[in-house]
Amino acid sequence: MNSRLKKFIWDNRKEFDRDSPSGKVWENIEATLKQPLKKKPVLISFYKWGMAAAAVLLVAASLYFILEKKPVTGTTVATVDSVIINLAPEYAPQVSQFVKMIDTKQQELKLMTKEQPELYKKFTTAISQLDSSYSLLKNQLSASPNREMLLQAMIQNLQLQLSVLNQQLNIIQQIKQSKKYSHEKIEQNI
Amino acid sequence: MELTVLPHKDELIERCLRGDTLGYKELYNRYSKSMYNTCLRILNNISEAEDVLQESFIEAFKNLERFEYRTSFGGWLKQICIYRSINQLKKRKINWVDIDQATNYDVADEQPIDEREIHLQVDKVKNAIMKLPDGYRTVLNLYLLEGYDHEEISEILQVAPSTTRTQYIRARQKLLHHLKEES
Repeated sequence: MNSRLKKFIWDNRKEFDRDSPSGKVWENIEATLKQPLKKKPVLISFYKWGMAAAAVLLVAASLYFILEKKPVTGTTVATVDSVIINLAPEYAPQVSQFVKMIDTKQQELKLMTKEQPELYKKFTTAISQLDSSYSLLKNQLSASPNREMLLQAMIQNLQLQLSVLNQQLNIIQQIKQSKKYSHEKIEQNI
Repeated sequence: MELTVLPHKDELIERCLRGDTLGYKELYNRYSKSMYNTCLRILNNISEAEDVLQESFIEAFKNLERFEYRTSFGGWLKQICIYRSINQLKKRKINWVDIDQATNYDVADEQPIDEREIHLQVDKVKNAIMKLPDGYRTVLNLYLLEGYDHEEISEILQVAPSTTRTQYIRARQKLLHHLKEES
């Protein structure tokens, strides 16, 4: 019934798209994109832990100013172990165990995301943010009179790094499995 | 033999996801014209069509990570444009059913026109479409130019399929009348 009109329109379909929008449309889109696209949510739990770490830091800093400053012992060598060993040797085994585990997981992650450099980049961003708050805590350690609280926060930070890494590895595992599954499905169907 | 088709990835979209800002401009250049014409045909108003076009692209770009290649990017973007255009049109307080009833008489009174009597030309068809009232124009556009079937149109407009069917028949009849008057 409508075949002639419909056919005519479909045969000339491109001719019906002749109008162009004004240049200000793209300008507005570009201006909007510039701001919010940079904001990428990391991990909610990271913010939660970050807040906790900040609170700990605040308390530690206040205590530092209230209480008398003790002479700094040990060196400020950058490696985790030497700082911990000098200042809180009782924590050293626990910390080094965590550090080792994190290191292993990071190697594993690097290996597994070989084909997905973007994913690897995203994942490492989350970890490096955690790691930099860890360093912040660690730097406070020599000056803080309340090491116990700082060390707890540091351990919690390491635990969090480990659990984030585990989650990331799980995600990769799932991606790989679903790819494998779809490949198998194709092979079965052919 | 059944094949599970793996989604074919669009390199341009992947570039945008990697944060390549030039990619967005390219996507815009690739699709803006056809999307704009779709908006314009539904809204029949340049500034509203440009606003909807802008909002649709921003929405698509911000949700690019959620795009899963179930359809083509163009198909996905067009859906956003159409839904947004219809929403904008609804702000004009069109009641689809009322239009149907209000125009019932004058369409019924008109003599049916034989398509073969009319010489079809793109510009004339375009102008005649734009002369149609909002409700008719939308249904006719979605059916004839965007290629949706009545089931799909009834979902988009949230009316019964029978309503879009009768609206389409009347819209088409009115369009043919306009074309005949012109020639």
